[in-house]
Amino acid sequence: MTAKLADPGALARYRDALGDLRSPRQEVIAVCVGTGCRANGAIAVYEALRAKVEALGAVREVEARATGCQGFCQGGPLLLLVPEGIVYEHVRIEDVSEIVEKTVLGGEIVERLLCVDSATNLQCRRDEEIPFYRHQQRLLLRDNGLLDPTSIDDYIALGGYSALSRALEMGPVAVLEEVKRSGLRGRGGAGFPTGRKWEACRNASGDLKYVVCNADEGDPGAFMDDALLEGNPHSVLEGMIIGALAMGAREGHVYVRQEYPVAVERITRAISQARELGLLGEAILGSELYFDVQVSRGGGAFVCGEASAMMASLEGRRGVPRRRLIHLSERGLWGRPTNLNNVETWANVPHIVLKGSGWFSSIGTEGSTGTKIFSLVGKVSNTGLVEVPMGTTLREIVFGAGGGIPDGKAFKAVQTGGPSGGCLPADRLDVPVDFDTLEAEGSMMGSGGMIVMDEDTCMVDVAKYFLRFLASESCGNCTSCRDGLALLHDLLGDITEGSGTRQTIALVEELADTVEATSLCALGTSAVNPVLSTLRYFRDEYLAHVDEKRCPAGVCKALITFSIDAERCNGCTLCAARCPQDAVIGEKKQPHTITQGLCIKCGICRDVCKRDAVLVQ
Amino acid sequence: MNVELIVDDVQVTAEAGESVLDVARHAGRDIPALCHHEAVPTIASCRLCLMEVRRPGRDWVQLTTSCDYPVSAGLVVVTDSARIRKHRAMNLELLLRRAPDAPVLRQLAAQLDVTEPRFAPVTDAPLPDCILCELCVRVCSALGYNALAAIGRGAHKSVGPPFGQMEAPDCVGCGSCYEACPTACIPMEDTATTRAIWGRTFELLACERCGRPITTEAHAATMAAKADLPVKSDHLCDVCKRRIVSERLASPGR
Amino acid sequence: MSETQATDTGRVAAVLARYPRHDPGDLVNILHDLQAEFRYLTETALQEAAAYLGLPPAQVYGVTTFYHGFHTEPRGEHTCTVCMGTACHVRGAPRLLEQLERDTGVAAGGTTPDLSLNVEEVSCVGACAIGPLVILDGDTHGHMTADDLSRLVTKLLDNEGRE
Repeated sequence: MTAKLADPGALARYRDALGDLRSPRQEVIAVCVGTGCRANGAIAVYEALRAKVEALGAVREVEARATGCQGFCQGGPLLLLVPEGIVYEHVRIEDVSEIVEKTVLGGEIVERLLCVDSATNLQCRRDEEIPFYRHQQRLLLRDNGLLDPTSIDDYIALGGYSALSRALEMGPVAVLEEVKRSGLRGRGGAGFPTGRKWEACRNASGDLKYVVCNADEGDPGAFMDDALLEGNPHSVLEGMIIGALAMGAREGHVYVRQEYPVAVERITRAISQARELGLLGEAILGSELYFDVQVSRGGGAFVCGEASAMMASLEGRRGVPRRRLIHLSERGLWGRPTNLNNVETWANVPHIVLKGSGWFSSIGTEGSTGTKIFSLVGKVSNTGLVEVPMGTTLREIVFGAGGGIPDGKAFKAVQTGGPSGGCLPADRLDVPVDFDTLEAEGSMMGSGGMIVMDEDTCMVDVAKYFLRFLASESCGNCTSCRDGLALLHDLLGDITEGSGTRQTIALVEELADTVEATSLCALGTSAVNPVLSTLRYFRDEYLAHVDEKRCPAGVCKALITFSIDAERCNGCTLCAARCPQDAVIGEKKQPHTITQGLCIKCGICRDVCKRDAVLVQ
Repeated sequence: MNVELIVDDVQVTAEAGESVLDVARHAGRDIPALCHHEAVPTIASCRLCLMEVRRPGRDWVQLTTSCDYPVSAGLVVVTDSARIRKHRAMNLELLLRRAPDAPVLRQLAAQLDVTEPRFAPVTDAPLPDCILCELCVRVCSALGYNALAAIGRGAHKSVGPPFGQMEAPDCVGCGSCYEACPTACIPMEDTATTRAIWGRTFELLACERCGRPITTEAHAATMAAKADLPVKSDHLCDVCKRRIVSERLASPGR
Repeated sequence: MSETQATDTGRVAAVLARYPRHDPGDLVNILHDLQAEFRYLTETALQEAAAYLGLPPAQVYGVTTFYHGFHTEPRGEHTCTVCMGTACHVRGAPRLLEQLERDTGVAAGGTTPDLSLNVEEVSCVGACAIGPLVILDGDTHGHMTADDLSRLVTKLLDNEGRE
């Protein structure tokens, strides 16, 4: 067992010793094994690479390192060569030998694995040339590509926990003032000033105070917090320890969504590593600070992201929100003063302490300082995590980093703010992304999900999708939310199924009004945003469904028909063989046709057709 | 500590911490609330007890529920307005889908001009006419029996015995849930000697004097155990107890 | 008490022993661990957890059924989960789920009668780049079509049948 670090000086010496062990010229091949790349076979690539590198033995000092999410999920499995900064994308096991022989030993680039800038058609040799990264300022995510998240030494070698040393030197009051001056606002969605929250908790009376990290990232299509917790767990933990110092908290909880088993494993490991080195527990770094953290798993309830519901869940009760008569900072978990901040908020804290509030507030806009991580997904060329300064426009994110819409399709909308956010159309693309502007536009920052939709996306279907999600996530307490959302979903179902009328739309608006006005928690009051924002910006599409019984995007099954283009069909019989309904008929090598009465519009014929001969109208 | 607030233009004095609903009702205001009971914790579920409230120093009015809103000095409360009635009526419409014939809802529907149902009724609820206010669960828990559970969530929430059973093993048959239920949806059947509720049948204890049933034997035994009394102390119904007291008072030998 | 029951009680006790007695704050963590042990949460396990934590069994059952991550019915051996996250949705995830439901005759959240397969949906696993995706027994399959999914599941269940 490692000895505990007795004081900040011991931490610095420990870091220096790590530096001596690791030659600065040492090359690292960082394989991204974040969720997206992992799902794409990255672990096998990493293992093949490690075996190959080990076989090199003493020939070269090269380390194969499995890292957390490097952000550029579209290119996965992704490989970053440090210190050169070469990025290889879509790496397969077959490529591993070539990479080691050519690039590592021969200093030669494997050109076919380089990313191509679609705008210039040029190959990008280094990470900063890749359009996806070029538009970013990766304050929080940068280290994800450099460190092995299971190694506290990697974190410390990169300067980790020096912010904690600095904070202990500054003392609680100075740390609090620094965070206040930085202008940091909560990254979980509401955007409340973090420093003020901390101050209230610090000033609350009570011997036992809690800090809680909200890692219950439930927004479908958002995985920033997962990437941070999986890819750099110590940065979150260091933020929490500094927060505990500033607020005088003794116990911490990390409340993690159960769908993130790897994040649970990583943060749990990080906590025990920090304990071993004396960065958690009694007398942290020899100071008087006592603080310890435990991990609590969610049970699969989106509503537990709401503060009062999360406290209920942490206390072993049903995660039902209650009106908060007294602020969490005075009476939270077990009735004691509690501070709750989101994963990304905590990860910002060490940077603020180390580089100062002046530096931090120079990034972003006046009202929204720092950077924000967005998970850019949906109908966009470059899917992944994008970290940009606050105030960057939607256009720069979607068309700059995101590379625009694939397959030559037209942009239709971008949904920000998670399920309770709103859909913004093309004429809002130049809106700067910050807390206040998005809200003024009828959407919200939320935790940072950004879902791009193209011309093939039906906005009524999207609104119905979000309602289905939120209705099933309603805790069931309030009549308005519990039954109102389920009914709104049914009413939108009527519209997508062709039985809706203009009266249906009017009833949707009337019911949405009551759900918004009379539900207790934010899940209910904001659940109608997707409906209201699509009605505001895409009313024409609703009207096409009710007046013309037509789904312009070709999505709503009841309003579309599948047919086969006789010109294109070569009678390969593939569709007929795969049709679950035997609805496709035709002779071999003759154009096929679809029997409409049998067709259930499952779309398999279109999926399997190699000649794009199946049409949807 | 007492505070002053204004309810519908009238100055009212109340104890800080009391709910606006209780205070306004004591002041004679008629606010519908189906899930509220002073004896158990509030969950603010039915969303009918809406009010418009303005805090001192704020220039905006909030529409919210009054049962879980504690009074404080200087609140300005309005208990009836077009906006309140509109949203209250919509929430009532939603509740009517679950209990279309419940008298308490029909009466409110008449008051709020809710006539034609615009939404399809709920037909697959495990307990018909239940509006999911959890009063039964809360009352049972407050009495310490914890025989009932709130089960599931969202529109599929239900109340009843735990573990998917028809029977509630921890039930003592006290009937408090039956009394508390606003829509009278909990089936309870008493005969001269037995009570059937939550899948169980209990023996009723008869009053030693008049023979009328008092409560279930199981309930009496639990209460006696709690009070640390012998099970068979005095089996008298409330009426007879009062009678005995008045007879003693009236007896000349006293 | 049958032998299986006796072993089960021992297994439940072993899980509970990882946590302090009478600390209701550990309830959800305990439910996770019990489910990992038994695949689903039996009444016995829940009753014992309640007794261990000093909570009413009704509350433990209420908490269990509140969270969608917990199951109180026997679960199948394999699990096929369709990601219904927003990114997957706009790329056609609903068609995958419909296909899976058609192929298995089981609605999302259910288990085939022979306890071979659980049909599940999840709202985002953070692998949006390769959506629409399904997770079969922990392995993620990206860029799925309804046809691919059909073949994948049929193959799995056919292999089962042969064994």
